[in-house]
Amino acid sequence: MTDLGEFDLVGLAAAIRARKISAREATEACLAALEAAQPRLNTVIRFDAEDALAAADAADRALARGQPAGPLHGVPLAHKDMFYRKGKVATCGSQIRRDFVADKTATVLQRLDAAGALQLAALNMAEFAYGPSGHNAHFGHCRNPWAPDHITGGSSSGSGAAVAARLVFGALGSDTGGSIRLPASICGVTGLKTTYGRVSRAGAMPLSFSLDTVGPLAQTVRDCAAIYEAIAGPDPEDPTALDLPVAAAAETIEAGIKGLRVAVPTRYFLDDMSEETSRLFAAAADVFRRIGAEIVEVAPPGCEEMSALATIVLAVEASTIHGKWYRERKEDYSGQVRARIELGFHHPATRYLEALMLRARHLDGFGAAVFAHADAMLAPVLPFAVPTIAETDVGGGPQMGRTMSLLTRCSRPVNYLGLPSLTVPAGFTANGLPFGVQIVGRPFAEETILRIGRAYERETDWHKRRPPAEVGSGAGA
Amino acid sequence: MAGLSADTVQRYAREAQDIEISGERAATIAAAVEPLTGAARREAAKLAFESEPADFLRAQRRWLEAKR
Repeated sequence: MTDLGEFDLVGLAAAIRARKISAREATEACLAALEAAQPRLNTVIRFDAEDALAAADAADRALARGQPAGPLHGVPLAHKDMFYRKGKVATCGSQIRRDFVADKTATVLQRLDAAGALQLAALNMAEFAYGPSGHNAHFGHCRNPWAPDHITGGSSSGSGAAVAARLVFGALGSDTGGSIRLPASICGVTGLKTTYGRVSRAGAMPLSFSLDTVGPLAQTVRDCAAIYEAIAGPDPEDPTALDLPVAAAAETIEAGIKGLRVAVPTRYFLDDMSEETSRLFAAAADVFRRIGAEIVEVAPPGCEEMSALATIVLAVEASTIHGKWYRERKEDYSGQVRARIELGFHHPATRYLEALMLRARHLDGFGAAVFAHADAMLAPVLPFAVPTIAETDVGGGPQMGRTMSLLTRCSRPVNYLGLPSLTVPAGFTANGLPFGVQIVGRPFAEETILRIGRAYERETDWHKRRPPAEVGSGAGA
Repeated sequence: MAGLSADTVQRYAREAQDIEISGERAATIAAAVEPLTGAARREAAKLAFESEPADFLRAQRRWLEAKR
């Protein structure tokens, strides 16, 4: 198997363009790694080996003919199994859609195709993206490459695990309450939750149309920037996608952090941290200070309320979407998802609309308290060490309910505000599992948080740490 | 909806939503269905006459305009 260990996504793309390595070699190496890791990690729901190898050969032929290459030409990716590709099954991690064949291709996949990327597989995910832990009763739980008895985080579980184990160079995920940031943090990779309205959701499975966002998970910040640039921007197929062009993140992410202000919250986000995660968070803030950022303390208002409001919006919209199936095929849902859907039927319509009406007020209030003083805010993603699968499953003991609620405590308010947030690896807890921090930005300021994250990444090596070697891997720096 | 009983949850589920909820689940739902505090609910009610959900998109746009 070709050793791709020296490359990140951007480096591999350059090597393929320079014809130092072929798209076929890269694809074969990643497919072999995905297949070898499948019994242990269960990252894949569907392999697309034949199509991927044919596309890789076409990519190599195009280069040989001197045809122009896109920025992701020949780069092997795989995506959460909720982005539709015409003629392919998109299970959405569910029993109900186990045989659903898409009749259109998601805009984000069309854009990655146009950039030259290859799709090797559809990845495991929480059932209908409605769960933060990575449990899946229908296709089996996805496993954390750092410790397979621990959760991957969800709902983009396969995306986090596959990138962490260096099985592929990047993956798309979705984030409605933390579903990119949690698996990125818990699996030790980089993940970008985009601003609500920045990336088209056409052809992506809906969970909550007021909160859903799409974004990449990859090894490095510059990898995420490359995928983000390929997928972001206006789309006539999605009227919620902002009709304004996207700033070129790849041009600015190397600009460094000097002159930028990074806020550290004095409340809410740090309230439930353990001693060891507090220490890791403080160490990350020290890195930002050392490399030239001005650190300012802020007290973001209304976060408890925003967390509750986000819960109402998500619950009502998800239960509305799933109402027909719930009534007709209740037993085809797992117990976890069935319970979440049942709750959403019972919020009064007036409460739901109040939650949507209050959103602007909270965005203005949060902005005045945080972004009037800083270019971004640093916060943990998960306030405690990564729990085991058993601890977060039905019957997981007296702490299970609280643990599940705390999983999304730091991510939910960010979805309610529709803000962009970049998760970067920031160390390990005593149980050997990764710890990540999120860099939350102003609306549509993805290029700023990518720049801040890139400056941090250049000063640390957490993103270069690899899970135990027995997983088998073909990709990655 | 504070003080909602499990019986009410079950009846509403059956009659208005056409679904069946077990007694145990109904009790859990009754306890979880009103996550907002009284102050937040009063604030939300005050805004109702002068707000709409699209205000959020306008607020987003204002941040974008400020950036440019």
